[in-house]
Amino acid sequence: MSQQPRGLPGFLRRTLRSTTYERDEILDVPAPESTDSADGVVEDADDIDAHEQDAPARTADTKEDQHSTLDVSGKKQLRTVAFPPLPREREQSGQLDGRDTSQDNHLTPTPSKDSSVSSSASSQTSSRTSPSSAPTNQPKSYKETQFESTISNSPIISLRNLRKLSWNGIPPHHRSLTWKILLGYLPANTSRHTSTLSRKRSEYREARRQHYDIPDDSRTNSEQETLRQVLVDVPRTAPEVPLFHNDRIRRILTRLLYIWAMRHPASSYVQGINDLATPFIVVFLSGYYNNGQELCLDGTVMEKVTEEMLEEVEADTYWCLTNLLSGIQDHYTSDQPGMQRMVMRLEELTNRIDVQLCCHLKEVGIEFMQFAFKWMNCLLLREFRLSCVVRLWDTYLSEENGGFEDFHVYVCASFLVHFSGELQEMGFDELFQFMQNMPTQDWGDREIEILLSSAFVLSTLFGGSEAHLNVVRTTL
Amino acid sequence: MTTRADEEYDYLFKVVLIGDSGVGKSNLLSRFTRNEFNLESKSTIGVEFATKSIQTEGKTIKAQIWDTAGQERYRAITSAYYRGAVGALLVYDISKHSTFENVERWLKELRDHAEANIVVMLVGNKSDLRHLRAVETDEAMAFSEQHNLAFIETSALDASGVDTAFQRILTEIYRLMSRRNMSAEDGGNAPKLSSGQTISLNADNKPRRNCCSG
Repeated sequence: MSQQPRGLPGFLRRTLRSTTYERDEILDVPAPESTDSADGVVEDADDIDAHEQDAPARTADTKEDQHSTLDVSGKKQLRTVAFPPLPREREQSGQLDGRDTSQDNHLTPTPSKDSSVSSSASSQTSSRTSPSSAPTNQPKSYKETQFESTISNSPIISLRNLRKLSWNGIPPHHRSLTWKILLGYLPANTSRHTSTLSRKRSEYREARRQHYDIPDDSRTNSEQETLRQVLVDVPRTAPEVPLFHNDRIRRILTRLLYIWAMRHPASSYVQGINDLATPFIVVFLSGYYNNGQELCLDGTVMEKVTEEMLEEVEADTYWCLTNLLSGIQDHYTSDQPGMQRMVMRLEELTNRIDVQLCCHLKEVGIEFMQFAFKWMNCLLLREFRLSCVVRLWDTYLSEENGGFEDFHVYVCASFLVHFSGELQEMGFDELFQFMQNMPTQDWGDREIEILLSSAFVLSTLFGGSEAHLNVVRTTL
Repeated sequence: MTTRADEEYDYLFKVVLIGDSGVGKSNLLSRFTRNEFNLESKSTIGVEFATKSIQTEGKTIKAQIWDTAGQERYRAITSAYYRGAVGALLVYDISKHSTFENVERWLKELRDHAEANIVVMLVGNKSDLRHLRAVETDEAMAFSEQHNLAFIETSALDASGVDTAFQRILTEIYRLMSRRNMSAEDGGNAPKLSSGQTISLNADNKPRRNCCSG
């Protein structure tokens, strides 16, 4: 019953070509290691030349295209407009037709005026190896080179460039630092990193003394209740990841969740926030080992972890979690209005892109709230393996305007529609069970990246155009 | 691998599992519907759902069981699922007295959000933890008599009492409904309902949909 992940849903492949976007953002999606076309994503290879020739006219056409999608619902409309090929198609077209590089400059992030970012256009064609599988002694991939020049070789990091690069996945050994910068925990000025870290870690130690290292009987009833809830949840946090069985990891998780709750009484601790801390712990801990090349998930690493390192991981996780949650605070306050808003937006968006699926869900009697609440509350951590979530968050963190809020809804819509065909075959019971246990066990970075590409397309189509969605709400 | 959507049944009853977080609601559900127990199951976010059919008094009853998140913050979301429920298993942990103390609060939740004649069964779970027992059986039994609740102790871990608990509450719902039908004399029991529909005790036995009608 396990399901092979597939390429983009058909309608999105079509949609992708009908969309205007900043070229170097979408087109720099990393290519898969294999360039064979087994899954049919390049089925339209013959059309690519035509698309390329059309490309310059694209911007002018787009307003009209988007306008026309207003009054025609669903897929047919999207099918009629065609333009730029998928990133993967794009790359393949380069290989197929031997086109000169002047047209392909968009494969490279736009060279910045910032001298810290060098544009090494010459290396671009060989740049598409997967960084995660590249041993350190091999030539660095283009992406890594870009990251290095952005992060290491300049006193002031260009956040714009860092975001742009990170959107397509952060090389593992740059991840720990990059996440901290993207979350605003560390400043762009690298000379201040050490002092910032030492100050924030010392602030955390102080918070710990104030809230955690006190006798239990000096806690109020509600504080004790919060601590009890955290203690109930920590042992059942990410139980599929052996690292989280480790007592020392559980201890830091308990502490930081409790302290966060004490410092944020408007929401306090809400189940699911424990899940959100796990990517940080894994990424920051892994930053100390194997040059960060592999995520430390199996727990054996804990034999080597010193108390000092662990304290740093704890404090860094605390602050990064704090920064993440501050952007989505009303998701966890009383009645969780943010969550309700996100679920509603997902429903509106799905109505827009897959009206048949929505009708089917209505017919069998499933409400979005029943399955999507968890997607919003745990930011898909319950749906994907932790390593996939880490990749997903690379992109969320690099979205300037609320990756965990706005962009996440687009990702959820793409995710839902990905299974549209199967879901429409199911009745209430089966569908609900399916939603509780989505078949994503085989998913890896590649599937996540396809999902992200689809979401990006949706965000360019519908982003900032509330009217689109409102039209749907009133007419459906 | 899961319940078949098209299986035959005479009645479909919606039952909710409520109680403090960590008392074992999800494991009671998985033990009953799939005979599984997972010591490391994750906390329930929002609601989860499973079905199972049982036989009682010659009828096939399909139980549609909604497992809810225990944490207070989720009440706004979870209480919506009480609507249309004809039974509730109110679960506490026999090794944690505070979860028993909160039973009153859960009863109030039911009074506020559920149908008035919902059948409630108090369930003391984790009965395998004998050495850690903090709630005496007598105490819980007295409480349930006082509040007119059915009562049972269970262990999702060693499976004791689990089937009995569900069997008993479903049978009781069935009997209650039969009596109501007889007195209402409205042409007998509902025809076979399609899935996703639930019999409501106080609504003339008309099937109602789970979905909002918009």
